[in-house]
Amino acid sequence: MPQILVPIIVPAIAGGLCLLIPRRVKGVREILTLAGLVWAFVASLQLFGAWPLSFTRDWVVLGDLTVQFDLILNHFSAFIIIFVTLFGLAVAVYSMSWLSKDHDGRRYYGLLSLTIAASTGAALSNSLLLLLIFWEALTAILFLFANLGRNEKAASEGAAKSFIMLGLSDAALFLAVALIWVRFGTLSMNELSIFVGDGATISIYILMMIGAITKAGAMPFHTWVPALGRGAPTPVMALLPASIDKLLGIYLLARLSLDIFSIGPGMQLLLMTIGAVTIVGAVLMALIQHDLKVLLSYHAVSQVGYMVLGIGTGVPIGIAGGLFHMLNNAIYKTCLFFGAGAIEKQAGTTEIGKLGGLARAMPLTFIGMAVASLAISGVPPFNGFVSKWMVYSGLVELGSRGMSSYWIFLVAAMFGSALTMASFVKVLYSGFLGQRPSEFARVREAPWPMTVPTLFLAALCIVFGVWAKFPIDRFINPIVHGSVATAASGALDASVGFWNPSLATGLIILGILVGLAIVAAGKLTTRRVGHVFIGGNKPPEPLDTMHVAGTGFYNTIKETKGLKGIFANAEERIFDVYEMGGRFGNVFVQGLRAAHNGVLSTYLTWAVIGLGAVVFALLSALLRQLVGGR
Amino acid sequence: MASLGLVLNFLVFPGLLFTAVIGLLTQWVDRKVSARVQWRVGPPWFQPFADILKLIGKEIIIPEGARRTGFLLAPMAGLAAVGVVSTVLWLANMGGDGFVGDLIGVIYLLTIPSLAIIIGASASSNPLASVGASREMKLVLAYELPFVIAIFTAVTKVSPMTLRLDGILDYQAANGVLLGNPSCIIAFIVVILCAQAKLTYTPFDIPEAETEIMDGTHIEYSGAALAVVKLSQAMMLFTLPVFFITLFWGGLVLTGWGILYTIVKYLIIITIIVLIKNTNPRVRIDQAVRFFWGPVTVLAIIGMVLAIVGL
Repeated sequence: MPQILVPIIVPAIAGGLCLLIPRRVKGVREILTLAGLVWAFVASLQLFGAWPLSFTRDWVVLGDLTVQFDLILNHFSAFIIIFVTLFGLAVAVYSMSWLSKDHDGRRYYGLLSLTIAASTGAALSNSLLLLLIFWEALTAILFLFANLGRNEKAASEGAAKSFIMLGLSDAALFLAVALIWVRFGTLSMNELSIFVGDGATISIYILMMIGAITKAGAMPFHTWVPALGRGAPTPVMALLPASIDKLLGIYLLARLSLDIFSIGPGMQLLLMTIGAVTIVGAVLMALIQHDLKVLLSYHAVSQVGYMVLGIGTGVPIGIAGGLFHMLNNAIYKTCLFFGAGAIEKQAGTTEIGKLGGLARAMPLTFIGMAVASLAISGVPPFNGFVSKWMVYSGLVELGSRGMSSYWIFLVAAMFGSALTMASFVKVLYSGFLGQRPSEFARVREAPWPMTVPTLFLAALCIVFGVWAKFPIDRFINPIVHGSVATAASGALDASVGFWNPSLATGLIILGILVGLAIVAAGKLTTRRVGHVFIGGNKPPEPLDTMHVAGTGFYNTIKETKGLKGIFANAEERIFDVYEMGGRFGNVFVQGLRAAHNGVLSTYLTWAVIGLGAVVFALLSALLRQLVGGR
Repeated sequence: MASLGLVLNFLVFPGLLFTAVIGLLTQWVDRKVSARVQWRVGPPWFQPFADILKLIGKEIIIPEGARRTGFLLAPMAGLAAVGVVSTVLWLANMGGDGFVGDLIGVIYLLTIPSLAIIIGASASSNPLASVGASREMKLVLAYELPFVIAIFTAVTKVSPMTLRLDGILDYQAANGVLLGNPSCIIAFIVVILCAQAKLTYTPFDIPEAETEIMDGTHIEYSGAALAVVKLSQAMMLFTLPVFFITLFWGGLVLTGWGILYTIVKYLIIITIIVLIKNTNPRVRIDQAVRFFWGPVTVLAIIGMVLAIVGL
């Protein structure tokens, strides 16, 4: 088997076997999944640097239309598959403890491996049609995956919403691919080089962009992410919307905007606007959420804004920043969902209003989540700061080239960053710090398969922040053709500014040591534990009555004039394209309705079966080609 | 050797020690001026130093149910961040290139002390500290918007645009101080108002509000830990004006008569801050949010628009 196929076929086989193994057999599925993913991960590591490598077989021949099974390994796709398989592996380890007996382990592990197979396939595809097939497969898998949530109503609602929104965006992508075929006669991404100028190319670009940013979850096509967050299993959130969907969506957007199309200032402005609106809009919604998982989902949306904004600048350092942010976000967002899952598992709820003071009970989860929270808030010297800094530098460079509105985007991005910090202060406060309600007195730390992946990702947040030179040199710069100068000392050098993360870290640590020395110089030994006093009195026992829940933290903001109306409308989903489409579509389908039973899941099942049939036909054709080709 | 020099720069001059000493002296100026405004005599010049030393000697009481590590470590992180910012600013003014980071690095490092105090207060398990933490965070949100706009007004005026502190200083040396432009005067007014909130000085001492929530965010700190908190506040009082002088007012000149001029510039900013502090009552947090997101942001945007049209 050619090496390039390993990251696709090995997880696919592992996933297929998992689905076949009877439910009663224990332990095999975990081993099979882990083995398949380790193999795929190692193969992806070996593939890094092995380019140019390609694999082409004629797949379907219909008259003069030949569809090729066409894979290619380049720097970008090699980088994507390493992290796709790595996150898959982390989630697989995590799931060993997260999954309880009443979960359907057979489907869960099967779908997990299939997700990885479809994702690596999408990243490696060189043919747009093949990419589309893997893309659709991911949508279908996500639908099945999301349905595994324990709260069935929320889970199936979220799954249906995601399926419809992603399905429609896939349709947009499909339309664009068809248009490209008609107009340019090829679907090979390597050969395409389209100048976006006339109406047709603009529509093709926008259609494809919709496909990419819906997957990534940017506004206005973002509402499936929080809907999914309400019901889907937490590791599924960590795997798909938090990491893989970002990697793939932004991968496609970057390939479109950098390689396939050459876009002008108009399209760049569109991208930047989408980015800026997404950052601020989604983070404002995140600020007022009451459920940890939904809150994190809104941040999964908000962070996409930085990536789209960075790519939209069209300036090398901005693009590099956007791509680095894609990687960084996948790392810390997965880590945060892992932490939320640990809380859910150990404390039994993710309601922010109920939680509190878990840091002492779950110190490892707390450390992991604290690091990831600081990283997503852009606190130096963690990784989120570095990529944000790169995006900001890109914007200032645009400004220096004469774009006078650069500051609007810059201020939106920086203000969004402050709002993100506020939101995570609320998470850390209400989840881990503050007063611990007595019902959580017996909560224990999560088992090691859950804490180890969390801490591993948290460590990556630190490493990629402090030694940002390494990932930038290795993964990002070659894609953008060497945009960020990195000095031997580890400093990053842009034309408009610079940042030396390792030196900053060293000095901060030194400063902390000085602070500790001051404490040590005092009477450290006479530290003692005393009561909390309020107004000179001990607060009434139990301390629960004095519990200040994090939910009310930002009510002032919510009630601020001007924002109040927007929040009220947003909570009633006025701005949700899904709901808008629903209202519009409802009128439209009234006539057709009589002929159908109106049960959504029936339609969706048919849609999935139909998709499965198409994929099956194509795969069997491929197999025939493979056998015939030998 | 270069790295040893840097460590010394950071620890002694112009970093932690120097910043702390000048910061405490400035606090004395603050206390003295406040006292005079209120027809009191005021403390002697060494009072802030004596306070810190006294605090270091006291025992540290950790509240029951607090998260010890977070509670004790947070103030240290705040101290470290102010120290780094101060070093960066001074080295940029002394002809280096700032060596750690540019303007964005400075803006982000300046939010760490607020974040640190929020985390520390959250970890203390006192409900009043929780209220203080919530207010502090809202205050950060409130001033961050106009603050960022105002700072980038200065960047927009510099041509070619740069985020490097030495680049901004060079531009001012060649073309006159930025404060000579109407747009930057507006931006300067905005940053001074934001500084008031960044320092949690009246009228924006809402997170501490002694008469209401008993020093809120600091309520449970005692002994040497409180000394570190107070020290970072003093250092912040010194660092922010230096930042504004660097950005808008031609930087610190450290030779000949320039030293005197620099001190005058510094004292003017301090006096403005202290006078605002002493002549205003504390506002509520929602009023503060509305104030910063309303008139102050509009003012900042006007400044930015003026800068874009070239004023």
